[in-house]
Amino acid sequence: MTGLDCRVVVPEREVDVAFAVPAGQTLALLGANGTGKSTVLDALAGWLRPESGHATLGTEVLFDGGSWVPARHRRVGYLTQDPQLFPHLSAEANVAYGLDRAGVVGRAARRRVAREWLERVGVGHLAGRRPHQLSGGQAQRTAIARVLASDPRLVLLDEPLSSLDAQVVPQVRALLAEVLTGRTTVLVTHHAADAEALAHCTHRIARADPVHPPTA
Amino acid sequence: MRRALSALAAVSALATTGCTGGPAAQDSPAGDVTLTVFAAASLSDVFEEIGEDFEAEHPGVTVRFNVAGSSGLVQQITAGAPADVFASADEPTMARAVSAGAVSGEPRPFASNVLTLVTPPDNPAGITSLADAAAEGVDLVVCAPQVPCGSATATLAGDAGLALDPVSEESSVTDVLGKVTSGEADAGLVYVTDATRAGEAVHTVDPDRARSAVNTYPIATLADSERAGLAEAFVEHVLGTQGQEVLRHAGFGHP
Amino acid sequence: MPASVTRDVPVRPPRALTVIGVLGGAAILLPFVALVAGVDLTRLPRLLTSPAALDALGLSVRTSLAATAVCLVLGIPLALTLTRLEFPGRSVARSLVLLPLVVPPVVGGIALTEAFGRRGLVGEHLHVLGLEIAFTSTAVVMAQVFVSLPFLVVALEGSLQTRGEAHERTALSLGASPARTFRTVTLPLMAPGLLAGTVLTFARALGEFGATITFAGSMQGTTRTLPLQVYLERETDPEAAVALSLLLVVVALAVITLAYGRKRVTIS
Repeated sequence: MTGLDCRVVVPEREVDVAFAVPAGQTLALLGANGTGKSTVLDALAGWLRPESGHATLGTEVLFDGGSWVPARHRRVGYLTQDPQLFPHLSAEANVAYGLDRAGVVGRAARRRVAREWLERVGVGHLAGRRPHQLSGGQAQRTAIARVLASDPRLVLLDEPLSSLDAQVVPQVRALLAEVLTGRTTVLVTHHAADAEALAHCTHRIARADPVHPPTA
Repeated sequence: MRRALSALAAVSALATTGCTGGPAAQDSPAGDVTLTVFAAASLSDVFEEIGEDFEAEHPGVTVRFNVAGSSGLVQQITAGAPADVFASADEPTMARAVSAGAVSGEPRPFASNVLTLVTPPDNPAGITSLADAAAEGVDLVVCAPQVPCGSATATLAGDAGLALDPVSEESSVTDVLGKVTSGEADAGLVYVTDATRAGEAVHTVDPDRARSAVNTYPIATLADSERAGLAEAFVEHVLGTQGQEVLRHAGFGHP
Repeated sequence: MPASVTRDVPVRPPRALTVIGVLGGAAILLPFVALVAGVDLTRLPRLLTSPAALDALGLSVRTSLAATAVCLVLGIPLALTLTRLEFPGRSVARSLVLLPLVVPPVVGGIALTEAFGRRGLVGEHLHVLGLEIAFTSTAVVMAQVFVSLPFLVVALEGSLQTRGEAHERTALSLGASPARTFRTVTLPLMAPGLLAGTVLTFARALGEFGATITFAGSMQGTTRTLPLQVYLERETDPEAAVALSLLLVVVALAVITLAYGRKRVTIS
């Protein structure tokens, strides 16, 4: 199991955040709008290169003063507010997309595993549909399956329930609670209910955290 | 001199027809008359000069030129473009304007032009005759048979008993010249006047032997002209001593 | 109430604007209507099947297809570089790519001659190697690529920018290599822009005249494409010119219909 230890410093956005997540646990990152929660996730995913700071996952350095691992080598699963399903691929092909990295070899095996994941998140009957034929809740379930099927060592969730209709939120939240069990996760949310249901610990980013020059 | 003066008076009178001003206007011919001349592309520079001379002789008159390929000009004229005078690069093209009823009176030949062989200044293919230019492996550029300079080219080749093997048949003599001055082509057949105008930019090969195909340039006033007198005066000027001198200077031959 | 079907009330533009809009449409369409009206239908089959016309049509189609293929090979990477790679002077580079769109084609032809002509910057060295471009069909294709590449790049830039990078980032985070991301995500998502851009590119290549006549010359079967044939026919046989023009318009219309007439692929 791999725990996360990180500090992300992005002076342009007045972000200087440090926290640790024990292996297999979920940390809820809380804070008002504009405090840099998404910036922190982008940096951990490898979508944004912070000016300074560090992140280690288990024993592997994701980034520090000198080194930088590109997103595709990090094995960090990132689920954004928008499910970002590939519009030209079926739900099944979307889930199968990351199975290479999970070590699932062969077309038939990938198909089978993708089906299993879709069943597990409750949309097994929609495997052949394109994203525009799915409801918001169905799309988000598919996206959850896609992220977890790729077997990430760290899961990043950015407001995963906020774009869903109110009546499906409890079901998807329960699904997340189930599939995230044992996964090291950072969850950004501003709903106390989400944090309560999903997180083992919380870290609140205060507005205008003082920006210190990074210490070596 | 007296003739010139009386012509001037006549033109001034013409210039004021249609104005409300009485005879007094004769002294101030500021009636701003514009004469529109359609001229073949090869005449562009020389007619500009002739036009300036004509304007100097006829105060208040502005000569405006529309310069293009002769065939295109005939099309514009028959389509009703407002023009007073038409000068064509060859007789067949003028004949088309005549048969369309666009010309008033008889077209009159005013100049002639002959083809000459030109190469880039350094003559990279070492061409000394038309036969050299017709040889295989030489990039020869000529006018397409559809245009006046191309029919002259066909005559020239026929007279010389040569089958030309050009790499390109251009729509205008200007394009032929361009291919030679840029060094793209080894040789090209252009009018003597074009070679003269190009000066140092081309090397002229053996002009005497190339000068067999002659193009005659006719000029005519147009039936729809609203300034027939002034149009006639312009034609007279082109055929007159001063006009002919300018044409000779540019390399044009006698009609 | 006669309305048996529920429908939205459209927001109509002011009436005066509609009138002007119709005039604008007429400005575009009237010349084409006149062109069609000017064709002598009894002579049409013979005019269009003359050896010169068939040579010109065949050459135009062949060179335009080749130019479109070259544009795709060069244009997709160029559009990606200009939209997805940050480098100093990028905005300047993006404007420069549009130059052939705004420069008169004859200027393009002169520029191509200066570059690839026998005495040109690059052409000089090609000449030494025994490679001659001038007066060959290759020169026609090069002129077509020069003028039509910007059409493709602009179309692709548009589709890349509206689409954004989110899907590519997602693919990378799922462990895909940049090559796989390009092949399985970027390229398919570009498809609508790619189709429209390809069609425009082909149509522009088909209509290319100025750069070709300046750079490539005009020889039946080798460099005299349909537009050059039209220009030459105009000298002696205006009716044939009109007939060939009609042919060009019909081909262009077919190509545009193919691109814009078909139902757009719906992508959420």
